[in-house]
Amino acid sequence: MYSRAGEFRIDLVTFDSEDHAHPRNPTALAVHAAPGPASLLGGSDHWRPGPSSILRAHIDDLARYACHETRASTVEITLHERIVGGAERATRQRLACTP
Amino acid sequence: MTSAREELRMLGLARVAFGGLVLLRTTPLLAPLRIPYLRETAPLLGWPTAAWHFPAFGPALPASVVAVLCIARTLAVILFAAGVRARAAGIAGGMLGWLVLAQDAMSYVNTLHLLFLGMVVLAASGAGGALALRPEPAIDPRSGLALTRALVVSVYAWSGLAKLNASWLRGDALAQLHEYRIVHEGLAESLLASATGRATTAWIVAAVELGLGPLLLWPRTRRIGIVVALALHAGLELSVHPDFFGFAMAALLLAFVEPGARQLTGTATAKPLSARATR
Repeated sequence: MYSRAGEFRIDLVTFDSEDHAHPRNPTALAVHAAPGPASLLGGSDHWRPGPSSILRAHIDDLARYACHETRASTVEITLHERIVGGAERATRQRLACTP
Repeated sequence: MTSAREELRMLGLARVAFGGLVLLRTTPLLAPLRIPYLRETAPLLGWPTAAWHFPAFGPALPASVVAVLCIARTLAVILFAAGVRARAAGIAGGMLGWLVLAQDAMSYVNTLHLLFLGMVVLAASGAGGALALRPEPAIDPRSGLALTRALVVSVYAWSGLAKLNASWLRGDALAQLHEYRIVHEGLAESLLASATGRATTAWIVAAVELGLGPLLLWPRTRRIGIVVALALHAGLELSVHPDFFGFAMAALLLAFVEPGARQLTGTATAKPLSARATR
């Protein structure tokens, strides 16, 4: 912590049963999250600092949770990360939600 | 040089201070102060919740098991701080702390890792041999002291090495901390207002962290090292409020304090430990 200027943001898109895309604010996922994940998800629709490597490592867990919270047919989560002044990196997870 | 008895006493003092800090950080004792990073300590840090979280690795433990682990961790920390079976209690407390922490991957903070690691290291260093309700026989105070000192030096070394990257040395990381109001008070505010100030501060912080290890390890500069380290933590505490990190490091720095030493001349007398204390 504190040794690099890293930021991240999250794109959350849900798809209904007819495969129509609905962009959602990932901050909504913070509502039923424990304080640790809630503090990362809150405001994550914009660039913000934080330990994004944990989110990247557990993006499948996040996608499953997004399925539960949004009641969508499919969710797609994209985690964007960047070092200030450096290149941007994107990690995407698309998951078909099981009822 | 100091006597083994004095070294053991400083380790014991470090154990009491450090155990007290772990207790304050993992229980709601300081809840009335309403410190933001202590909000999740009631009823105990890591207490099971129905809110969404996920373990760092493997399957999540049942809530009842996590609750028992939290209680066991707290009991172990109390025994460690009081000096009752401090070696076993400290190692158990650290391990249980990590186990509970791993149940919520996103609740990880460096300070908690330092608190649990420090407890294990102090316990293994024989810090239960002095200032304890039931003192444990000292096995090898010198090597125990060296182990605790190695932990302190390694924290500064890794922290300094991690800052040897362009992002930090250009001042980008400090600019970001300033932009997000993580650093926003006193001298820091004026130091970080310009790009030159940020880059200069970044280089100084990295140099201080890399220099602290040699300063602390060399007996002739040890006192200066302690003062510099405490000044660094005081500055960070005032500007960044980094959880209990500075307090934990201050407690561990007690391992470098040599009350009876004549550090500049190196002519302190060494008193042998009693037969009972060295068993």
